[in-house]
Amino acid sequence: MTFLLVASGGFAGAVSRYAISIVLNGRTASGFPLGTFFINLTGTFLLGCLIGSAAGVTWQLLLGVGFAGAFTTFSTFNFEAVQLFINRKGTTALYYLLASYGAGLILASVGYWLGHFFASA
Amino acid sequence: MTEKLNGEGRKKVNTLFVGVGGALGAVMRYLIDLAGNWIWPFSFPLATLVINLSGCFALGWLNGYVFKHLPVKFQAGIGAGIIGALTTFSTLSVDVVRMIESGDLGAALIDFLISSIGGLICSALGYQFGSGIEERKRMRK
Repeated sequence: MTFLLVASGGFAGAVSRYAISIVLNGRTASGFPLGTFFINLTGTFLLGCLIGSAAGVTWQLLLGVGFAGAFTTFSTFNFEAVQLFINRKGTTALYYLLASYGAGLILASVGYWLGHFFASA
Repeated sequence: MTEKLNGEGRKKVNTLFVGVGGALGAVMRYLIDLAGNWIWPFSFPLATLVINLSGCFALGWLNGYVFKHLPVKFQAGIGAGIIGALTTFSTLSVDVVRMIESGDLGAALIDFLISSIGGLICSALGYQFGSGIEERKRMRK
């Protein structure tokens, strides 16, 4: 059962990421991967809320380990940054890295705090 | 399937491959995490770090070499699906925040620095490695 929850969340997370990145990536003149950026930040916020609220195991497995884990991606994120460096778009790469990590940590804290706040309210 | 798929049909097949790959990747990450908790008794999230860095190397290598010889549906299934879902940005960010919250600043900093710098290095090395194989293969022809 636990595997089914993780697998279903993973299926939905990966398909959502794929659909969003097709629409949003490759749209900016600078080459900034807007799709992956949006995905990683929203997914991080979701996971922060979920962990902060100490939701039940079922939700943690389905939405946390499964969906948010598979929706957000570290490998594509880094590969995009490397490609930007290779294509002499180092400034965009640096902005991409700094913005993703900066906003990622902020949204993880805000989500964690909000989840905690509403769960204990 | 005997009839040729049109563009829409092909998109649906690619998406299905991504979904199945994503389910596999998420379950693999879950299993590695469970195994990690069993052999690594410390709170430092080593399993996620190892998964993320090896996933970066793998995706670089796949893009540099393997994907140049695979149909799009397999590229989507393996790259966006398995490796995309195996590695995770959200767990890393939330882990770092949790370590900061619990006063474990050193561990948070180590996890963040190794992940961020290591991710770029592993991705670049994987791509270099894959491109190298591709280049040698082309020279031999």
